[in-house]
Amino acid sequence: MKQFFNVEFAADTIFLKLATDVTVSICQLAGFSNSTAKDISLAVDEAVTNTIKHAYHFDRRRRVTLQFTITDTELTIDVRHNGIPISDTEIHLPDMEEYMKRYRKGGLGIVLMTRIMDSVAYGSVADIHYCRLVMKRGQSHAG
Amino acid sequence: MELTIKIENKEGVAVICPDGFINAHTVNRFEETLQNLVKEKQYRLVLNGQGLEYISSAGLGALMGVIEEIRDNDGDIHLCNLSESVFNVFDILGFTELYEIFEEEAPAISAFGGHNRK
Repeated sequence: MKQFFNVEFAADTIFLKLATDVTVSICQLAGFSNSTAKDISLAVDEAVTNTIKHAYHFDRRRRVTLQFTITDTELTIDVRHNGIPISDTEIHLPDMEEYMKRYRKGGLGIVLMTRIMDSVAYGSVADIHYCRLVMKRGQSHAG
Repeated sequence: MELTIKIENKEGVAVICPDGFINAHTVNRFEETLQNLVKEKQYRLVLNGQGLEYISSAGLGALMGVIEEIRDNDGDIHLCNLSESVFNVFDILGFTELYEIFEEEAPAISAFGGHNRK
């Protein structure tokens, strides 16, 4: 059986805390440990921040929707927007060794997302674009 | 309260004590604090995470924004009193290799005596 939860808010970084708090609660509901729930909420923070920054250029009149889908096997979180789309091909993961040698900043959010989640993908359906974060439900993440 | 930052000077080391959370919404305050210290040529910094509930990549980016200048001036940023979840963020990104992390504040300060850069 699938369970859905939706949260919609203005594209304002003031709502990041709300987004992470809601994510922790839903992850706990889905049976993830507190530690995994916090990690997933960090991935959501990064995805929402990227949306506000890159898809909406900090335009607070726009909306961000989080859709949580819990199935028997996984939790899927779609961070949706109707701003500038990002495609998988535009995503470049930095070489972290080089990154640290040269003390670069920026681009760390996508690294965190990919290291925390089982999968991260970008896509669009009509005018709605999304960053899809998936975490499998299993023994290793259970609370 | 989202983020308040207290700075204490101990043995010539600036101890930064953030209270709250650092994300894209609050990072400007954190970044400004770091940049002001560097402007004042304070290159020996300890980030005491006792009151730090949460940090996202925005906060780590702020540290990366000043670390080069700090190390070029024979300084460093030592971290201490990190909660498990905050330490985890540094660990996921491999930043535990880049910064010296201490359990408590006193050794994080005294380590500047025989400064040992990582």
